[in-house]
Amino acid sequence: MSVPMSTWKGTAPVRQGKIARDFHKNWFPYLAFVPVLIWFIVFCYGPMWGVLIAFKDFKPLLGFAKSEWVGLQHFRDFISGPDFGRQFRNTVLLSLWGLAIGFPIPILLAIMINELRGRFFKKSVQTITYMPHFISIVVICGIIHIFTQPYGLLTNLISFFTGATANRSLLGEAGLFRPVYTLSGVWQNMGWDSIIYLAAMSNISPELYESADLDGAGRVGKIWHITLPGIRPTILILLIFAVGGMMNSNWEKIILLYNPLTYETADVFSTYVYRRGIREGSFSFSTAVGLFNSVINFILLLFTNAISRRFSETSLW
Amino acid sequence: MTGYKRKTSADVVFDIVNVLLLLIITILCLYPVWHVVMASFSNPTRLSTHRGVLFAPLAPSTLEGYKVLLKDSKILTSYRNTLVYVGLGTLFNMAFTILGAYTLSRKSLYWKKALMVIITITMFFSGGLIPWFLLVKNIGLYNNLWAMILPTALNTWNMIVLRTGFESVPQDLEEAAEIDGASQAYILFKIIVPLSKPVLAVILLYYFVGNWNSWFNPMILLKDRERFPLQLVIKEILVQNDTAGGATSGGTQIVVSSVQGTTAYRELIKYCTIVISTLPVLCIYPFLQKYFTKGVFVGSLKG
Amino acid sequence: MKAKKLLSALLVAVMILSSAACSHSDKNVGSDATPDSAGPPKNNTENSGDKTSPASNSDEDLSDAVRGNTSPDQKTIDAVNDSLNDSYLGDLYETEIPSDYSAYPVNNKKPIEVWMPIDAFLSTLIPSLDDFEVYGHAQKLTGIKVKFTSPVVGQEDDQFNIMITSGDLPDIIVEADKYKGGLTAGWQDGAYLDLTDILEEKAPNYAQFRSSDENRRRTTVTDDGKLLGFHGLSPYPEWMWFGALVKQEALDKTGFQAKDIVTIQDWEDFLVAAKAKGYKEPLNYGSTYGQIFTDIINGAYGVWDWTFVDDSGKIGWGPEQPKAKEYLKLMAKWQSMGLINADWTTADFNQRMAEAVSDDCAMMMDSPDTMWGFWKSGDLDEDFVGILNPVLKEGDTPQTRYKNWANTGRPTAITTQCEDVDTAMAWLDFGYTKKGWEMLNWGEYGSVHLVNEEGRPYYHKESLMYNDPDKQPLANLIWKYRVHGGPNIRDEHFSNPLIIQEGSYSGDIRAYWTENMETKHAVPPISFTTKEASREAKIATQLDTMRKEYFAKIIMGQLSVDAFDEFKKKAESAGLEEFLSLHQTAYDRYMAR
Repeated sequence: MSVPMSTWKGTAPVRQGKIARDFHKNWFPYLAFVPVLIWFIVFCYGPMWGVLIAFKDFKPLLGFAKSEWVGLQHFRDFISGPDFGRQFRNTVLLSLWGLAIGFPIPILLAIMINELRGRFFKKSVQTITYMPHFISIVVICGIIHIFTQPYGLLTNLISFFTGATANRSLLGEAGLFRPVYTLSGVWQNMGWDSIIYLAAMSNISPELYESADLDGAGRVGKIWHITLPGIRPTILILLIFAVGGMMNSNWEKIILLYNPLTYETADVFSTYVYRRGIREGSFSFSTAVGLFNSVINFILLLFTNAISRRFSETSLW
Repeated sequence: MTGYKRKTSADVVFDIVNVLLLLIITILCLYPVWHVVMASFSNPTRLSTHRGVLFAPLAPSTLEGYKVLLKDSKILTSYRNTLVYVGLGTLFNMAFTILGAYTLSRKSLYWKKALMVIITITMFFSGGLIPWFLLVKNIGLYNNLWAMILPTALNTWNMIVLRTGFESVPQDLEEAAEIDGASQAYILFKIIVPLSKPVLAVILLYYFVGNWNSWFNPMILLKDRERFPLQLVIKEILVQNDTAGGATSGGTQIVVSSVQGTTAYRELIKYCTIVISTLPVLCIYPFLQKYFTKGVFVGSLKG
Repeated sequence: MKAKKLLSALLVAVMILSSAACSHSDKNVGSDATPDSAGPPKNNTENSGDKTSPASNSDEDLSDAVRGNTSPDQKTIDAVNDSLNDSYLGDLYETEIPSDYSAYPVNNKKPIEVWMPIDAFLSTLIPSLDDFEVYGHAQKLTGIKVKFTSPVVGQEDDQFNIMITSGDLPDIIVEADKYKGGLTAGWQDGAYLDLTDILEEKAPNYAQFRSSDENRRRTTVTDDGKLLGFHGLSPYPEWMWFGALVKQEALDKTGFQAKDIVTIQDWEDFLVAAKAKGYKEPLNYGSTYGQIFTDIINGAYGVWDWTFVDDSGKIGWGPEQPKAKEYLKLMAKWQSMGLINADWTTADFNQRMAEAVSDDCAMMMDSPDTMWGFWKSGDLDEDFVGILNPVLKEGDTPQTRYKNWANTGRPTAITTQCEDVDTAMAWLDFGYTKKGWEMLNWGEYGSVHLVNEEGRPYYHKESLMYNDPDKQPLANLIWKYRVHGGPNIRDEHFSNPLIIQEGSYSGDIRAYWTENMETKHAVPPISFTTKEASREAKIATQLDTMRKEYFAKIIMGQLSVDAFDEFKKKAESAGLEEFLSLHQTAYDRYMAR
């Protein structure tokens, strides 16, 4: 447990004593961590200076030192783009959709699988649902194109339920981009994402369920009061990470699915950087955008982590 | 499994609904896989102009795609390479991750918060490709086996997930063992690790799949083609870019390419490569599945 | 009545195609006017079987032995393949292909290291370009040892950047324009050598060939007059490779003749007629290739997709031209009439091709080679014709913004880390000699090509090109037995088997387009300085996004045509003026080269 700063003054010997005792007690964990720490220092902090490329006009052959320093120019360039606001909004909204829909569904799926009794069916469901995760995004998007074309499977389905014409391409409607993008992501990844929850569930003591049975709890009750709380640490940690990834987007998938009619809702930072990159492949520019995103992501992480720590025992630190 | 209690009618309804829903979901998830497998046996020219869903290979079905792939001598060498990289790589991954997660899960560690902050920062801020490459190359990790293992020895996300798993091992067990005079190492390897089998299995799976699918690092760090792993060889065979042959939009130099007849063939190969490169991974999963079933929990301490 | 129309349509088609075939006339000198006739061929026995240094007996005249010889004996084959003798090759073009072989054989000790991207298909056949027979043959002929390194296919840009970063450069880099900022930046940063002063001496063939044509000269020199690289060149401007293609069947069914579909109104009449005959979406309006193919219709209105050179020689931006609203109105009308495919904004390549082969499509805007692969293979045998870009009024000349500058790309630079510059230059220079032209474009003599009466190489019926032991499709073989693109003289029209194979008329269509359309609006390959490039990239990306969005929405009917005014205002505030002046400056610099 860390010593609050307010007690440091005038208690230096106490603090030093605390640290010494900590090393004495926990020497093994610290020792175990040495290779890990070395790895981080070498492979993560070693190259960290590269973050500064965002502030230079980096030319690989000149090297970092000789490349010209441009300060915040790339950031200004980026933020002053006329579509900046739209891209920001789309990035955030796309992630929020993913969070609202894509985050709970794997949990639900895990619960459903967990409740299965037949071993064969249970195993089959698990195996089949995680398979789409391995299919390359290019193929998945090809399938999406087929389903959403005029008179495609999905188009027909929607027109059946809503009465709208089926002679349209779903991918050509800005309002449909987020649902198509999110739901196809769920379709592809829900199985794979549910694995970690299944693992967490298998750690819950059967005794808890038994005593719940004795108390007369129903299936749903047991799920609500035992299963979910049992995997709460896992859920929270994954949620914190998910929020900390808010500014990221799967640009490859968006590129494969978007078109001028859906730029309004589909154009995000990474697709913009990609289009810029075709004309002028600038390391510094893309590093700057990346840094911009990372800072926001990190702030979100700090925020979510603090909330989680306040209201539960689970947090990153 | 909730023991051998009798089923109520509410139970039955629940089960039926559950099974039905899962059945629908399974069929939905099965389709893309089915599509890929069927496509890999389909006639190439018909395949690239096929607009609808695919339930059976487009006649005349062909093994041509697979033949082309398997004839390529690079495939076999790269398969062997991948086995080595994945085997050794995953071993190192697990070792590092277990050690790291162990330390970070100790409740009374003074520097825990500092360490967590240090490693979390690396998840968000990185120097980028070029500095990383320069460093890795300069310490000699280039075009050799260790280049495939050391730079990727740790995945922070996995480590933190494993930490969460270790944290959920009941405190009483550890304390009891301490009282009995067990060393810290004993506690780690004989209590914590065995009790965290499910999470360990998941992390193992993640690392395995990550290593298996890895192509970018090998592309950068390996010079000799004989050292390439499977996914990289496959990436070369699959032309991932726009199959349209090089024209770009207004303002940039237009590259003339009049060669487009091979597109159909490449479509077919695209699907075959997915099947070939994914099959082994799919076979691993059943072995790990048993760790995810309930009841792995090895007896608890009573009183 | 119908039969008569059909017959005349066919006759017209045949006439057009055959006149196109004859009009790219070979400026041949005539087979009897060979430059070096020195009597009957001599027997130089000391040179046969000598593999390390090729015979340099270029005084022996092999014309009689080789030209028109449809079954050469092994001696002749060896004489051609193992020596630099090019006496049998004709002078077939307006400008001469040089034949200075004084540099060879070089017999260097240390191999020259060449970094060269390898084609995806070729990489499945051979592990590296070191095993590529055509280059192996070239190495033998020149006595130069070369070692190739190729980046991973599909990741060329990343690997290029890594290579530059690592500071460990090879001797020669092909596609040197991957360097950010182009060859000029590469030279400024110290990666590439400035060849200006040594080019004539060390690479006489390239120097001569590049300066013998104004387009070749201009596109291979920088704005400040530097010669920084070896560019792939062509003896003639290569044909345009895309345009409007109509199914013959659609013409027959509607009774239209290709030559009658000239004005925009004709196009509309034809499409309406086709629709009435069952073609549900007669025109496939392709747009996923970056709008190039849509330059066909909008060109009639002067509303080009991007920058163009206007009648006063100034750079203009197509999308803001006065007739834009008319064009948009027309397309929106066609869209609502169901004349174009409803999913043109979202269809990916596969969907477009699926539509093309279906019965709903009568006309495509694409490349004849691509459509050949889909319309004339497998179960289909759908003949098609090429028609010219439409015009507004009868009598106008069809325009296109595409022009080929006799430069085939793949600029190649020699790096500053090259120790043996002379040999490196000699290696590259070979591609611009007559022998290089023959061997690189047509592969090996005897097994892959023979030489006809006028001294032009061609693929004979028994050629490996048409009889591949592995039965690969022809489109793959153009990479296997010859060099399809590189720092050399490329003779696309005569060495690309896709164009010249029997029964193929895609070459004819391409020739027809090229010869009948005006290219005065085409913008040459200009270059920007690094500072200019950043500004240009930012504004250009913006303008491009806007154009695509507004035009798509207006045509689809989501916005009214008046939204165009809004677009124009936005374009101006996005920096259209600055954009144009940047381009204007770069253009002026190009013209001053």
